[in-house]
Amino acid sequence: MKHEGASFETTEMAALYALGALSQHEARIFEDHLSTCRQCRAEVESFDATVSVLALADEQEPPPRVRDN
Amino acid sequence: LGSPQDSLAPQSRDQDFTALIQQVADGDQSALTTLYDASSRLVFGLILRIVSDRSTAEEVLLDVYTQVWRQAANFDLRRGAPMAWIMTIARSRAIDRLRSGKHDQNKESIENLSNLTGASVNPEEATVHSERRRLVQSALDTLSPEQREVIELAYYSGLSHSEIALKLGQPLGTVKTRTRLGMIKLREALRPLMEGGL
Repeated sequence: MKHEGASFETTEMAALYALGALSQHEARIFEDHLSTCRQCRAEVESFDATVSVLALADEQEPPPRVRDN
Repeated sequence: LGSPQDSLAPQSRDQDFTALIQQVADGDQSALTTLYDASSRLVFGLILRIVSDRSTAEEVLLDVYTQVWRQAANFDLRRGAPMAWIMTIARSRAIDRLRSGKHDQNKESIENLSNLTGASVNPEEATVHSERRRLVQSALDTLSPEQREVIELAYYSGLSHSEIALKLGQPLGTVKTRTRLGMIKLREALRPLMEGGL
């Protein structure tokens, strides 16, 4: 998956990866690629941050009994 | 470390979280408690959204921090931010539980769950939460229903792109395109929150 610049395809892979929507096989291949491609890593990081922020819509205080465990 | 209402991770908080995870890896239980206090609201919210059952969500929450305790030494900042690492564990455990079917069938609706607020949230924090929630909601509103559907099926139901295509009776290429366009829109709309604007 050699490329220069964020392409349509790599952005797509990064988005699917961050959502956990790749098959295990595809995810492994993409992870191999990530280990050598800074640009795709940056894409994944920004999409990871995006999905983490989504959780703000669902924030809930857990009951104290969980903390006490 | 920031107060709990700052529990999502812009860069300076990433550093605090990274330091805490390092201390947890060294066996420091109080660091785990601090990490829990700063992150558990987000983690619990995500789990609850996925499993839709409070008692199951509590069990999964406990599992998540047990896993954080055990695997803290494996955390690698080069592979992602600390909060994203914890959220990935949470999502993965919650989806495992969802698939195993070991949850109460009497699901509360998401709307009802969203209306519950934690007893210990003070009014100032509640205002921040409500503002954040509004921003995320308006970001989600920028998506077309089709884009939102594929993103939610992937993230909250744990379906792969091919499973989503099958479920919706749509070509795989369509599902991928909807996902890509939707995620780009969300990334743009949520950028102020990601950069710690709140």
